[in-house]
Amino acid sequence: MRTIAQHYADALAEVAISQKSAEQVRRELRDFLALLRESPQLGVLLGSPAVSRANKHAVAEALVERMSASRTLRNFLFVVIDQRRVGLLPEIQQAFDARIDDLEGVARADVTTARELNERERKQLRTVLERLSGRRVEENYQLDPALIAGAVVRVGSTIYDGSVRTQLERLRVKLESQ
Amino acid sequence: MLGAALLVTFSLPALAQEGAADAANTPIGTVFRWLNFLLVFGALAYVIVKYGAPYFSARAESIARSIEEAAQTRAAAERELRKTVDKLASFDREIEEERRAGQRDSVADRERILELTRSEVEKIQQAARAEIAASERAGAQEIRAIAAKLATERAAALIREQMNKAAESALFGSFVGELERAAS
Repeated sequence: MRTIAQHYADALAEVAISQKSAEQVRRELRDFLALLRESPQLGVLLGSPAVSRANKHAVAEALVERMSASRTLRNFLFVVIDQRRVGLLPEIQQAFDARIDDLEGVARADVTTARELNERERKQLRTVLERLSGRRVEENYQLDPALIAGAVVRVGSTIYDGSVRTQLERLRVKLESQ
Repeated sequence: MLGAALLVTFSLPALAQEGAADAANTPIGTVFRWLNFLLVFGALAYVIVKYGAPYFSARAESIARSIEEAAQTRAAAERELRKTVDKLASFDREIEEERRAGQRDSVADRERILELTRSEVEKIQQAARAEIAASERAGAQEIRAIAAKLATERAAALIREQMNKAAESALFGSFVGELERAAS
């Protein structure tokens, strides 16, 4: 069942793809959300029924100009403000990213390792993940020394766990059950 | 009228005696004395028959009725007595039956209570055995868990101590190899 946020995200994705500016809109939307997180009063203002639509538009316009963002984002923000869905923007952003990834055939992989991987290892991992998912993979690397060694990779809802920590945990469970 | 006749009759011999004291010893006097006796006796008999007979008859009837009533009362009393005796006898039987029933119930209750007690004791023993077994299992499990935790913590510490770049690369390569096998 599609959520309200998905409807907004799909509409924005269609426009962005048709204008071949999906990555730009993605980045602009991410920056705007960062701005909202930094200044909660801004979100309150844009969502408040006490503030007139014209004033909200003026604020959004000013922000978009300061960010040097596209008219696509500006128009989208106007729609969201008019429909009083500013509170849904974080969900819309997630749904938009997923939709763009889906349309562009991109799979995002969260890779957690105990140490920094060198370029050769990253390439090896990317290649095998692309074979596994059948999509172009974009990785997001994180460090976690608690893994001891190995790596944990999450692609969508699938987790590949090759960490020593998990192997030791499995060993502990096995020893306990014997 | 009758009273006057009786007075004359009873007074005549007396008058005759007063007149002639010696004449009484004569045969005629003897006759008169007999006549006097007969008159007195007859009067007495008449009075007795006239008034005594109904009185005695009524008295006899009354006594007979009393006797009859007494007999009936006695019979009734005897019936009551028999009933009472029978009842007492039945009371004795009932008491005896109640006593026996009580004894039977008492024995049954005792057996039931004993059985219940045995059952409860068995249940408590079973519960205790189960609890002991569960405690043993839990204890053993806890010991295994502690041992496993200590072993894996020690293993992790050893691996960290001995981990170097080459080993890490080898482990990462092994992981990638597993992913490749999964992909193919």
